[in-house]
Amino acid sequence: MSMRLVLKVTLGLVLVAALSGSVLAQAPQSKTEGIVTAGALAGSNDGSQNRLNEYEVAKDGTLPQFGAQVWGNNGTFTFDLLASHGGDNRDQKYGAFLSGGGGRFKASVTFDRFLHRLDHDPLDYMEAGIGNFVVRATDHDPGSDYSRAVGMLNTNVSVAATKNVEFFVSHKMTLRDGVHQGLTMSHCSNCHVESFARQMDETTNTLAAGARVNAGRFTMDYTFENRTLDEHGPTPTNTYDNAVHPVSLLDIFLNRVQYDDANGALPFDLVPKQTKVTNTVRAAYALPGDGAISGNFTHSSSNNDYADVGSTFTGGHARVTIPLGKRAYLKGLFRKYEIETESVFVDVVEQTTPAGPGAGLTYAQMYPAMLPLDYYTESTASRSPTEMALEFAFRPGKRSSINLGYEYEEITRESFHVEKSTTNTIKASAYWRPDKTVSLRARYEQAMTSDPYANINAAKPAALQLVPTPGGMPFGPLSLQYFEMYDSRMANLSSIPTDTVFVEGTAAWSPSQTFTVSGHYRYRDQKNDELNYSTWGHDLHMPGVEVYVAPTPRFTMAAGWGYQKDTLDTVFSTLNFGG
Amino acid sequence: MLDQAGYKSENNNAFLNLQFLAGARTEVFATTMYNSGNATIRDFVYDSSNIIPGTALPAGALDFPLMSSSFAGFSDLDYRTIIQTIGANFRATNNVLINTSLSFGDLNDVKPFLYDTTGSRVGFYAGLSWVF
Repeated sequence: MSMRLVLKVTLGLVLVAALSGSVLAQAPQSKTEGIVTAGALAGSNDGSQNRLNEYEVAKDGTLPQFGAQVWGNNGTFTFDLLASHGGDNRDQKYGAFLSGGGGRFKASVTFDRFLHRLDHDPLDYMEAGIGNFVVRATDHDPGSDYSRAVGMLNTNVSVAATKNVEFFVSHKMTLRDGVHQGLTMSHCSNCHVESFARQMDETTNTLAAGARVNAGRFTMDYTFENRTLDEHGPTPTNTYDNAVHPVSLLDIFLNRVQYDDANGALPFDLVPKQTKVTNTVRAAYALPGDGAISGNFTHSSSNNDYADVGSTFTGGHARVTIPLGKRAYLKGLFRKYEIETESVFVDVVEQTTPAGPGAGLTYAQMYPAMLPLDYYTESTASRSPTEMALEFAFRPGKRSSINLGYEYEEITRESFHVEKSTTNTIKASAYWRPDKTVSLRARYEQAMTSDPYANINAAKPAALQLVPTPGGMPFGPLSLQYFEMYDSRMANLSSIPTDTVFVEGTAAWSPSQTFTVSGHYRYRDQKNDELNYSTWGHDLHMPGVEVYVAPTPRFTMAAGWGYQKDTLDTVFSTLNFGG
Repeated sequence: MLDQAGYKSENNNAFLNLQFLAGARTEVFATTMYNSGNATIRDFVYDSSNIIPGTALPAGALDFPLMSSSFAGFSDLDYRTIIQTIGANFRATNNVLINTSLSFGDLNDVKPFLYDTTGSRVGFYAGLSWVF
């Protein structure tokens, strides 16, 4: 048993204790309880631990283990303190939870640091090609194990200034340091993939503060949040290969790339500084009876400070619950938000070829049909969804319930071919306990989407040239260019379904407190049959069964099995090009 | 060139937990977890006959042999993992507990993809807990 496993249980106990802090604080008696654990963990490893112990230190050898948890109250404050160390600084956890003033003051600090093993692709499956056409790879750090340590520091403080007003502030810091694999690639004369050890030292800071007002039936809160991501590790650089013709290896291909060895060392795998500011307002009003109305409004702005490119989120929702007698209610939801991402102008670097048929010319000067080269990028994240939902719930008896629902979603976009997608979804679920030993649940959902988002003309270029270019050279009026093939693509691609059906059934039988058996089956079928050259589909089957048996008070057994099968039908497309 | 194909993945998870109170002061437990997962491209028929019927590939063609040789085995995965733990907790006094456990984990990477992740680990823990 690892110390981290012990601590997961322990932390759960601490959280429960913290949540009940206000109750404990009212207890007048001072008391302190706790547990201190010390031990040793000896391990022997064989082979790779990257999958088996991806998030565990699992050291080959012996490590000391220490853990302690103390909780109680001194008549004024309740406290829960937690500490553990697994003999390695990448396996430690600490926590402190305080509550006082009858629950009007709450504070907590936790720190958790753990190991994350990372993959190292040896790139030894490359070296494919014919003649001088070669895909090759160079690993500049072969055989190294990559990993990172992740540290999470969370601090929360809340103070109830009056009976109706509470202030809260929190700070979260996530630290990731270590080494991962950085990859980059040179194009022309061949595809040359290069692998480097990439140091990482990332810090994410999130500071949030706000206030909550409670005035009878009305509650409202406001939260301000500021988040930053900084990478303190040095950005790696690479000097790319000289761009030459793949067959002749002559220096006549420079105008087909934007940079090569002449540009010197260039950065790659750059992690830009990012900032995000979010403002959220929420309000709720309890209507007479069991009715309620609530809503929120959120605005956030994210920015890539390196490239000075950002995006904004503006949206909100309103929800109302209307009771219909004692056995039924009606819920309504309206949600609308907009995500706007700035366009980025890409000014393509146009090199001139030093020699050959295009000497002194840029690629666009040789093939003007490709113009314009410069362009604006748009993000598929930019969209304006509108959602509406209605749910009717009814309890025909004490041991049964029925829920019926309808949802409508509309997504509009300004920058892509599919300007508007709409989805209509119907939902139904039921719960029934025919007697005290059996419970049954069933759920059904069906969604129908018209004009789902798709990449228009994304694949299947026309057969433009059926015979090799004379001389095998890519110059001259008879030589087909890549951009001509891309421009002739005809097939639309999408991984968004037009039809979705979801069915779930659950049954449990518990004839006594010493025996329970339950089973479930989930099935989902998604398909898109509106594509012009292919079909897309995704099926999911998830059965499962669990059994609990306690034949005697001294012996218990729990067993379970779950199965998941995913089947994806899609299309694979590639250019067939003779170089 | 465009071909209808697909990807299939299967995942099995099973567990068995046993707990036995061997006496007034001793608890014995055993947990077993098993997982098998596999995934692969299916119905992949990227053969030269459906590129341009009746037309031979140029001698220097790179794209087709490169794509067809690498795509067919792309992300062909088969993992089988078992983790077995047995242990005992003994209450020496009302305030002192002795904890021991022996665990064994084995992951068999049946079809290594990118690199072989097969590995195993045996671990033994012994500790003392003081409850107050």
